Amino acid sequence: MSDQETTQLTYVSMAYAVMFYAAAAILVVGLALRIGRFLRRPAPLRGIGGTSSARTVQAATDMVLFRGTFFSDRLQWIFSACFHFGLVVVLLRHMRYALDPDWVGPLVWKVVVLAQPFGLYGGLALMAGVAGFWARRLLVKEVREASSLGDHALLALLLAIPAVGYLNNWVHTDVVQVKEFFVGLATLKWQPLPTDALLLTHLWLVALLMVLLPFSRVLHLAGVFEKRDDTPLGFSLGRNKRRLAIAGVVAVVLLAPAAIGAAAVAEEGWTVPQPDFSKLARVHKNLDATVMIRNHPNFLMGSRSIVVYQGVRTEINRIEQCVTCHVVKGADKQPVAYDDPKHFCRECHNKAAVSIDCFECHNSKPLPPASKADLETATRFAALMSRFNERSAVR
Amino acid sequence: MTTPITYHTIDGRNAGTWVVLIGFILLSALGGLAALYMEHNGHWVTGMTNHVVWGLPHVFALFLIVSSTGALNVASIGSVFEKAPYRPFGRLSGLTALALQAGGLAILVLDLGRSDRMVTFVTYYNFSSIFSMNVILYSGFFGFVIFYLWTMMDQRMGHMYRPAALFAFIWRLILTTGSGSIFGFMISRSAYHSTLVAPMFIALSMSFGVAMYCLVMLWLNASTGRRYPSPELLRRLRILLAILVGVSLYMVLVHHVTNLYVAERRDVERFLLVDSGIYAPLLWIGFGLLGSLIPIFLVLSPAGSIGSAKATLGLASALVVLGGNCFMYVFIVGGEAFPLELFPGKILSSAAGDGAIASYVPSLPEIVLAIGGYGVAGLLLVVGLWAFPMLPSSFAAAEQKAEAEAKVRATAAH
Amino acid sequence: MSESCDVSRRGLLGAVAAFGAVSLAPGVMLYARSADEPVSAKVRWGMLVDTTQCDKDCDACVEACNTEFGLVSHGRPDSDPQWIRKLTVTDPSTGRSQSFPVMCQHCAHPPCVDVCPTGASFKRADGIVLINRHICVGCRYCEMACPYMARNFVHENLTDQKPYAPRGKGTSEACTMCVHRVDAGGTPACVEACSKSGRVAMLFGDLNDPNSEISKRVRSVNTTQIRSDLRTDPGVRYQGL
Repeated sequence: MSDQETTQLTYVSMAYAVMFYAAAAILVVGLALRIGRFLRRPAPLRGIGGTSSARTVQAATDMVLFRGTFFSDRLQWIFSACFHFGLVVVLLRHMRYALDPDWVGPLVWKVVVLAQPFGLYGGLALMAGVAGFWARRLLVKEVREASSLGDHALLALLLAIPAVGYLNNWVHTDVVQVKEFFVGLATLKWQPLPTDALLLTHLWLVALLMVLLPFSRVLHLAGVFEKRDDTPLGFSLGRNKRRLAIAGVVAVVLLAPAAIGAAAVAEEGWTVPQPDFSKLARVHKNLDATVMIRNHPNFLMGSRSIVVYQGVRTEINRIEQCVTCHVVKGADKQPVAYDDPKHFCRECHNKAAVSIDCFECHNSKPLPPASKADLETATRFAALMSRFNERSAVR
Repeated sequence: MTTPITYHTIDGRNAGTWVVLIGFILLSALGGLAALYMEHNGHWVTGMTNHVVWGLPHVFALFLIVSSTGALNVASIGSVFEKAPYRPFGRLSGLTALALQAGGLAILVLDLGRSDRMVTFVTYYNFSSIFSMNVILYSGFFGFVIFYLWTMMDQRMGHMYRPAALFAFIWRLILTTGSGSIFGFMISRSAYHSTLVAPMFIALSMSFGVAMYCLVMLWLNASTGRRYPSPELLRRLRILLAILVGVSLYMVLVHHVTNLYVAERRDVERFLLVDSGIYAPLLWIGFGLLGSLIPIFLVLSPAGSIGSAKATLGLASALVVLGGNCFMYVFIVGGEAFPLELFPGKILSSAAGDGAIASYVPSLPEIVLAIGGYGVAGLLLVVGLWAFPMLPSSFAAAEQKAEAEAKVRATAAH
Repeated sequence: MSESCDVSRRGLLGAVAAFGAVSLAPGVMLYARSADEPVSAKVRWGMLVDTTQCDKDCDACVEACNTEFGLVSHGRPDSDPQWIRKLTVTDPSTGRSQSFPVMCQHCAHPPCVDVCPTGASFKRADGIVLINRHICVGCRYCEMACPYMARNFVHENLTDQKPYAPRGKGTSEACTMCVHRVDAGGTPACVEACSKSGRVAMLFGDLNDPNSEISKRVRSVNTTQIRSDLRTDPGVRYQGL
């Protein structure tokens, strides 16, 4: 990365970077300890007979299709399927923050792009699954009595993360910047994070979940060979000092970024969901680019309705004008089309795996400069009108 | 209402089940690939044009959707009209209805120019469009039938069984009215525009649906080695099919005869009934003879005189299904192939094909897509039969008991 | 960045409109709406086709439409776009034959708008019937419902569309009454071409404005609408049928 590209990091970005490193460390170490405990346990495959290949098949169907639950509790299986399969697609959608078309090649990236719309529906399935689990915990007497406060808290967290995520999708943020932040974390070249309240909340909740996972039974994949006993989902703190110490570290890891994030949001203000687009478009050249980056989808949606339904084809409303000003010229000095990776829209949209179909109908290149012929047509038109009037008067 | 009928699922370990399942998966996948191919290249790779805008996919889709509502008949007769012999087969009837509906809708959705924008059907809504009304009707149908199935399968929901059955029955009538009205309300084309279309579709749905149901049941009879249907139900189904096919034939006749009396529609009727190359034979031979008269003859002939009762019912049902698709082809494609009459009674010609009979030859992708709908329906059916106990194991005793109860009730009423 | 903003064609048309507004006689002023004012029902755009002036062998209007919107044939006449066509009508009992253009009739009660499941097909306040392609799913019900065969389906992949007239595969389309020209104060391409050819068989204007040329004409001469029995009340009228 060259010198010009280094950017000023905000306190929030630094705090969140530290938080994610710590959360990832806690997750990995905690899981490693749990898996180690499980491996040390004697005869892990106790209770399942048959050859080893049969055992593997059974374990695999248990893991992938939740076979056991299917035959014991059909409703629970439906919730499980919704949650887990939904989660797979959601994670696939989020791959756009972890991978880059430049490293993974066009084929893998195509899969990530293809997963985007399904991820949106997968999230709904995921939430429906969690809601089902929670409803079961609240409505079925035996399960309710066996549930602790921690179970409910965890379910609430599992519901809150996608809920805030969807809000994020609605009140747009700069996804390319978010991606750069996470890629920066992995490559140790830190990048700033957009200071959007909803984004910060979503990420903070995710970090919280990462920290809680090793201490809870939510992540039961590692324990697939353990005896299945689904009642205590949560965990309980306390009892010994070691746990208290861990809780302290966790609290510091999570609370500090939360405080810094809240302060930053309070200072910078919430991203206004619907700014005055007529002003925004006129002044967007002089504005902080992030305002337009965040709001251009809503702006374009609004403009398209104005043009199509109201017929107000002023410059700020026409996509032709966007394309004209934001033209990028290729090696042959001609404007490039959206197919070209250098196209103004394409650059970010490809990076963020957001596919747009604007240019299936609209031309992605600007109009050729107005020619003399247009002017001629215009003058001739006026002459023709008067001639028409003459003729119709004769008739 | 507690009946001692027990139900079972189909055997998931049976090699035959897997063969059928894989067959349906392949058909569905091929249909999906065909849709992708059409989506990628644009619709010019199909036989559909600006004149025949709905082609073979719509023929098959509409047949599946229409027959879906009719497949629910068996359940409705059992619960709404309290005919005991039908009752053990109510679950299978509900499942068949759902599967056929889903198969038909899958074709429709995959044939859209922009299938990727399918969600627009829900996010944007036009209340004056019969098509969007149908979106509500389709989803409602799924909801009602699933609820109906639930009341059939869950003892605790027994008290909702009759209301659910009644609502599902009424809803299916509305749904078929909606499907028919897509065409019936179309002022532009004289082949369609008629109040008779909706009731005609209801009649057709009954015969097509019962025929599809009989095929499913007889296929399960053959493949599971059980004795479906019971002799009593077999006897009744044969008579039922004969009546329904007869009513359908009557409705189609009335529709065409009505049009023949309207001077401005004589041209289109002449086209459909006499002049056209393919539509007239499809209608007369495909629907009239093979799809209506021969099935009626088959099921009304005394059992055993031609073949076994099951065999003739199966053959009759298959013929009704064949004839049904012929009818839909003539109705949809034939109606479009006849040119629009911008100036009734005048001779039109233009570079855009005014005044000329539009030609339509389905291309391979659309044939594959259309058959794929049957694949989806079959796939859902097999998965449903495997996941839920839908098939009655011991219906004979229950049937006798229910019949005795009915007899007692009948004498008490006297 | 501002250097790269080319002078747009629209700006030019706007200038022309202003020019037209001053140079034409009062009452034939075509440009009544300022650029940022939404269209309103005060205006109803319409067209009058004088079939007695239309030449059988002339297809200037069709050519102009194809050029304006970049409609090209793929050699498959049944699925090629045809927004406007020359229709030849012959009375079998008298042998009288006429030829005139037919396009989207911009009905006051358009069947395509009634049947569209997503509401993509719509009638603008000023009477122009359009398709919002952003929400068109390509079900083609509108093509079925239109009594005038005015709607087309885009059967092919398209590239390099005219910037003022977006169109794309898998959606329905039809004559837009050159809404991009009309909004800038101009007339539809077919009308312009017809005038240019010297025949002047087509007239465009505001049917709601009693002083407009088209209103005066439809008031004084006998004009008809195609399939007026359907009561769709087309905005395109024909004289001399």
